[in-house]
Amino acid sequence: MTVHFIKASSLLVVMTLAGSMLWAEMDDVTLLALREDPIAVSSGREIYKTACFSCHGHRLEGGTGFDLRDGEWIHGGDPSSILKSIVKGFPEKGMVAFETVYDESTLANVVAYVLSEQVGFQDLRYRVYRAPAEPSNLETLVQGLLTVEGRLPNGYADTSVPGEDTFVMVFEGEMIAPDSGEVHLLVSQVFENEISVFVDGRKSPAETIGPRDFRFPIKNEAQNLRIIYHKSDERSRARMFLVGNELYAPISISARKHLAATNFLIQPVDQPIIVRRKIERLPPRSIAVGNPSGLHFAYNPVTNSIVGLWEGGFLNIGPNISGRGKDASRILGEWILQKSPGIQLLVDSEPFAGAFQKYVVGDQPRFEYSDEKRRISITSISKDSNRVELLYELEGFGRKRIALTIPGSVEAESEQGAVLLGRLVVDRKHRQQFRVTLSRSGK
Amino acid sequence: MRSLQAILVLLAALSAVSFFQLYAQKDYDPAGYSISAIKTPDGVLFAVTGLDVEPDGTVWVATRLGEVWRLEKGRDWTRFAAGLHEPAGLLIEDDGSIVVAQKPELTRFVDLDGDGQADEYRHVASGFEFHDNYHEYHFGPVKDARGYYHGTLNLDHNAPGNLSLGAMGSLGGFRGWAYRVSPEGTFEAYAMGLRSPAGIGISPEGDIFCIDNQGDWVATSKMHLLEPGRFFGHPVSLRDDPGFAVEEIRSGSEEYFDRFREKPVVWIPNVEVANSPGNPVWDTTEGKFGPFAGQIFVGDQTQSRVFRISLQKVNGVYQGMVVNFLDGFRSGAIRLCFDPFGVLWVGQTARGWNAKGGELYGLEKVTWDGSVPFEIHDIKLTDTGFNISFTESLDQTQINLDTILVSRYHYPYTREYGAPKTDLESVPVQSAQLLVDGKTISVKADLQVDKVYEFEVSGVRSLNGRRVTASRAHYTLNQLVAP
Repeated sequence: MTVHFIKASSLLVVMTLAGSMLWAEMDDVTLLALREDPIAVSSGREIYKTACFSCHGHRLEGGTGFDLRDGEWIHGGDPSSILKSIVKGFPEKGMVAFETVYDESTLANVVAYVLSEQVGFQDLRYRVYRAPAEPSNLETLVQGLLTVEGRLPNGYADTSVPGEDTFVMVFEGEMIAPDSGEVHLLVSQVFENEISVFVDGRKSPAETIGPRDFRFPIKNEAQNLRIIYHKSDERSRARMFLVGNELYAPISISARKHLAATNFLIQPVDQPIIVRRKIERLPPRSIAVGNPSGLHFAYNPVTNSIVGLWEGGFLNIGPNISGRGKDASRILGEWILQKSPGIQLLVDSEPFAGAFQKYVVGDQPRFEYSDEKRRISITSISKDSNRVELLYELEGFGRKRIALTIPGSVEAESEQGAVLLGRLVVDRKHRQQFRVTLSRSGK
Repeated sequence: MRSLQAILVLLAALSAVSFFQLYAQKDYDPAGYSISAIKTPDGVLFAVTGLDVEPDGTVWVATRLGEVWRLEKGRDWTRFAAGLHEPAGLLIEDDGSIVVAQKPELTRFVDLDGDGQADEYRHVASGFEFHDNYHEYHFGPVKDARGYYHGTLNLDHNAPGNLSLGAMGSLGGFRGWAYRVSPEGTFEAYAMGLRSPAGIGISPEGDIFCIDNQGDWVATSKMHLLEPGRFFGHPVSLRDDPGFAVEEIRSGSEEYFDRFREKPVVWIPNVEVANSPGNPVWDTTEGKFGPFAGQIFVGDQTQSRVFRISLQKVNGVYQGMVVNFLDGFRSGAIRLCFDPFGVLWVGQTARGWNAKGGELYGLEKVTWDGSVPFEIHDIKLTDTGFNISFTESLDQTQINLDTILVSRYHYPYTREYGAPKTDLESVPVQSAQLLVDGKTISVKADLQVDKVYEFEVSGVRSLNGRRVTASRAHYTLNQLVAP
C-alpha cells in the first residue's frame, strides 16, 4: 500500500465527543432481530453516513477501512463481535472506540444496518474434480473424480485452491444479492464453455458481453448459487462480480485482487481538490471539485454549468489510471445530480454563450467564462454538512434577467432570489452578484 | 496558494509487477555515453509524458497521473500543478508559465503569487472534440517563431459509433489532425491523416515534424513534415475535411487514398528501430553531446531505446537516415529533451503498453564523457550513391566492395495493421571509396526513389580496429540528387 498524504482529521471530529459509558453486551439473536427492523436499520444508516463512510466507503465497499458487505470479518463476523469491534474500536489502527461517542442502542442500529447490507456468498463450499485440459461438458466433468472439498470461510470463491493448471471446481452456497433491480453474476477473463451457473438448481443462461466476459442473471434476493468452473486455459482468470446497474461486489478472490489493484482514492481533507478525468456518467472534459464538506460537484467547460453533484466520498480514479486507462473514474459517494446542462446560468432565459477561460485553485475554486464584453465567475465555497455555496459574479449584463436552472434533485437556497418552477430567479438588485447554497433535495 | 492537502491512497502498488524486472539488455552502447537514473518523488506515479528544461537547467515534467513537477538544480522535486487529464506534452514559456497538452485541452498554468505552485489553470485551446476514449491522446505543444502553438490529436480506439477502417477510428472533431493556435487563441486544424502521432518537434530552422506510430494504415512508424493541407495516410481523419463524405471514406480503396497521400520524410523500421516512437529533438548542444550535433534524437517506448535521424533536403524535399543509438533504459522512452549542459533527458512510461525496460515509469539522463564513440555518423545521398560517414577515421585496408552491404525495400500503403519490408533486394555496390576526410566511404549503387536503402556496416573498422555498435542504418529515398 502506498500512502500519499495521510490525515486522520475525519476521526478527530468524533474523538472530541469522548465520554464514558457503561456497556452491556447485546447477544446475536437481539442484533439479528434488529436487522429486520426498518427503523433500526434506517437509524443505523444515518449514523453510518456520519461516522463510518469516510473509512468504509459510502456503500460499505471499503476504502482505508475494510469492505463491510462481504463474509470476511477479520475481528469476528457474528453480530456481537461486529458490535464489539465498533464499541471498542481499534485506536492503534485509526478507528476510535465509538462507545465514547454513541450509546449502546445507537451502535446496535449500526450493526443492524451493516447486517442488512450484506451481499455475496454465505456458507460457501467448494469441490475440486480432476479434469482434462480440453473443453468438455461441465456437468459430465463434475461426475468425475473428486480430489478435494471444503469450506471458504471468507465467502470468496478462490480458484487458486486446486493449485493445478487445469481443474474443475464447483462453488456452492447461499448468495445474498441486492434486493433491487436486475442482478447478474459477471464472470470476466474466462473462456466460453468454462463456466456454468445454477440458481436454485436451475441453469442460468450465459450472455456474452465481451471477448472473455459473460454474465448470468440471478435473483435479487437470497438464493442457492452453484458455479461450475472448468479451467482449461492458463490465461483463464474467472473474476466473478455481482453487478446490477453498477458494480456491487467482487465474489471471487481474483476479482477482489483486480479491484484492489485499480483503487486510487482521492479524498479532500481541509481544502478542495480539482480533478479532470474520465468520470462515470459525466460528459467529457468535466472538471470535478472535491470539497471537504462532502458535497462535490463537476463543472463542464463546454456548457459552463454544473453537470454533476454528489455527496459522500470524492473519487476513485484507479480505473482510469490502470492499464491503458480505458475505464472511467468512479465517484465514491451517491449522486444527487448527473445531468447536462444541469445547473446553468440563464440570461433572459437563455444560456450565456461565453467561452470557458480558466479556473483558479485554492480554498475557494473559481471558474470563469466570458465573451468580448461580458464575464461570469463562479466561486465555490465548501460548507459544512454536505453543502456547497456558489458565488456568481456577473459583469456587463446590465439589466438582463438572471436565473439559475435547478434540477429537482437539488435543494437550492439563496437570500438573493427565489426558487420557482426549477429555477432560481435572482432578485433585480442582486443581478451582479448572488450566492446560492446547494444540497440534496429533501434533506 | 497553499499546497493541496489530500488523502490519496493507492491500495495496491500498481507498479508492483515490474519492480523486480531487469532493465532492457543493451544492444546499442556507443562509447562515451552513460545512462543515469533521476530519483523521482517517493510514492508518486511518475510516468513522464511531458518534459522541458529551462535555460538554467530547471527540469519540468508532466506525468500521466496528471501532475506537473519541477526539479531545480540542487533541490528536491516540487509539485506545481495537479488534477490534469493524462498530459502528453509540456512547454516552458519565456514568461514562466507552463503550457501542457492534456487530453481535453491545451492549458496554461500560471503561478500568480510566486509560491511555486500554479494558481490559475487557463484554457488556451480546445477546438477539437474529445469523447473520453482512452486513446484520444493530445500531443504537444511546440511553439513556432510566430508564437503559434502546434499539437497533434490521436485517433480513438473502439469508441462506439466511430468511423473505423481498421484498428483506430474517429468520432470526428479533428481526431488524426495537426493543429495550431494563434497567439490570439484562434484554433486551426491544418493537416490530417495521422494515426497515433505520439511526438511533435520543431527544428532549429523552424520546420515542424511529427512522428506517427505503426498500426492500421501505417506500415511502420514514420516521421512527417507538418505542412498545411497535407494528408498523411490514415483515412478516417478525412471525415473532418468538408471535401469528403463519410461513405466516400468508408468505400475508398488504398489506391484512391494513395493519390493524395503525403510520403514520410523517413520510415522507421518496426522493432528493429522502434514500435512506438515519441518526440523528435534536435541536438543543438554544439558538440556537448558528442559528434552528432544537428541530428535528431527520438525515444522509443516499446524498445526502451533512443535512435537517431539525420535529414537531408534534396530538391526542397526532406529525406534521410535512421539508425539506432542507445538502449537499456529502465522503462518506455517516450519524451526526450536536451538541457543547456548537453545532457539528454529521457522521460519514460510503460503503463498499458509494455516496454523492454521492465519498470512502469522512470526518468533518466544520458551524458557524454567526451570520449569518441565509433558509430555511423551520417548517410547522405549523392548523384551516384551514398556517402556513409563515421565518427572516427577508418582503416582503409578493410574497405572493399563487400565492406558495406546495401539492400533496398519499400513499405506498402495498406489498411492492414503494419506491413513488412516489401520487395527486399540486395543492391550491388559498384564502388566503395574512402574519401579524403578518412571517415567517409562513398559507395556507388543503383538508385531508385520511393525506396528505403539499408546499410549493414559491421565489416567497417576504425583505424584502431573498433566496430560500430549500431551497424544497420536506413535511408529513405524520396528524391534523387541531380547530377
